[in-house]
Amino acid sequence: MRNTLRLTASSGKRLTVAAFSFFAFLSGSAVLMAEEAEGSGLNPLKTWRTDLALWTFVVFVLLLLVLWKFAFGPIAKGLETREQSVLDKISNAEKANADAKELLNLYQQKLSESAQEVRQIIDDARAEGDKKKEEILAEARAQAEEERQKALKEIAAASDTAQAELAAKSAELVTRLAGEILKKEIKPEDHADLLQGALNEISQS
Amino acid sequence: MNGELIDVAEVGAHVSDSDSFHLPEFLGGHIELPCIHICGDYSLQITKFMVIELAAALLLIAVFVPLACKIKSGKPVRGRFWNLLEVFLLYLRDRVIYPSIGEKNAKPYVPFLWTLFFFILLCNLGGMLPWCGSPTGSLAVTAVLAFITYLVVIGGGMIRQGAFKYWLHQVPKMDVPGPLSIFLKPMIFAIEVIGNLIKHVVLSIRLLANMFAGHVVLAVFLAFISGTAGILWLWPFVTVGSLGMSLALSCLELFVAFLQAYIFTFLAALFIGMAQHQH
Repeated sequence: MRNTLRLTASSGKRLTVAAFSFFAFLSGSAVLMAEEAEGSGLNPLKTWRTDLALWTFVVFVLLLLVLWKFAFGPIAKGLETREQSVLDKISNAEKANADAKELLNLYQQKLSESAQEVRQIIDDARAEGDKKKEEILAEARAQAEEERQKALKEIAAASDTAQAELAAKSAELVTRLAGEILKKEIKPEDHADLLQGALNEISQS
Repeated sequence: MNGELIDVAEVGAHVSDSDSFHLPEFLGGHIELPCIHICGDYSLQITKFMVIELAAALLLIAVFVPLACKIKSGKPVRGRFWNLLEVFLLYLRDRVIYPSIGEKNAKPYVPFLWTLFFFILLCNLGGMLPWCGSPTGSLAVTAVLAFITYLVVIGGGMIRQGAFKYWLHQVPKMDVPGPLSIFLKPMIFAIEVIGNLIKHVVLSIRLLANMFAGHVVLAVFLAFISGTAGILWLWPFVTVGSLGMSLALSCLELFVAFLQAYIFTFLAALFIGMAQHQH
């Protein structure tokens, strides 16, 4: 590694000396320049120019008048107008917000009342429905009972009619049988036939 | 190490006012500015700083008149450049002028202080442009600006308090026995009036010193390059070092240009605010 740059103690010292020399050169030059500047009229406090002062005065005053009339005056007013507009908008927005909150409270209250009312209506409707249901059931029961009673009565009446018819038939049969019996002597086997014939007739009728 | 290596007059020509623009050869080289005959023996030699001031004034008109057209309706402006200008205006008004003078009294002074700030800023920034210069590096310019500020301060105070009362209020109320007050009050009056004048002189010197010194240092660093051109072993190091330092100092100068415009406007606003109230 012959070509590698090695920073040894002696080379460091040389660099430090070179750096100091460089800055000493710069500082020395600057000092000399300052001295020369003092002598050559570079001092800004000693280089007064009346023409430049008058020119500056005129340019600045004219600039001020032009900008005041056409730029900064309107800008200042425009900014104030905008700020006032923003303040008004904020104020209106705050008022609208307060109104909205008040309305919200009102609507929430109304909503709550409506919910209560709806609940009441539902309860009433349910109660009314229950009542109607009970009435319909009672009516149906009553009608059913009435129909039943009517049917029972009809059954009873039919039974009575049947019994009366049976009795009449029985009496007629008995009368006819008795008449037949009275016309001939009855043997045991006749007795049995008569009885069986009467029973058949009864069963057929 | 020889001071003659660097031409001081050459360095000074780049910092101070001159009757010509010194451009590179491909841009026309040395451009002499005209001398305008006014009347009789009077004539006006146009200088580099005069041209830069005029350019700054025209640029301000070209920029702020269109901005006024956009803002005066009260609607917000659109576009980064216009919004940036509005930020400057609002910052100066709300953070510098209103707190210094008071919102109620400040409104008539806002256009003046805005003009002052932007004019100084552009004059300061003129020094950052190649082959131009900073007019605020000249006492004639800063002194006139301070003088106009002084007139506004006194005029504002007299309008606000009344001409007689303004000068009367230069002396604070004191419980001093009669014979002693005959000597004391005129002395205090003189101290206050001279003090007020000195404050404005300092205002001009502060701006001048900051702008002049910055540009001189920049010019010196660049002059080292030509100054060491004859020393071959040193020249590359000096060139690199000088360019690096010039770049760093240019960044600093850019900051100083804004800072000094701000300080001048801020102090002007403070002085106007102080003149609005009696001691």
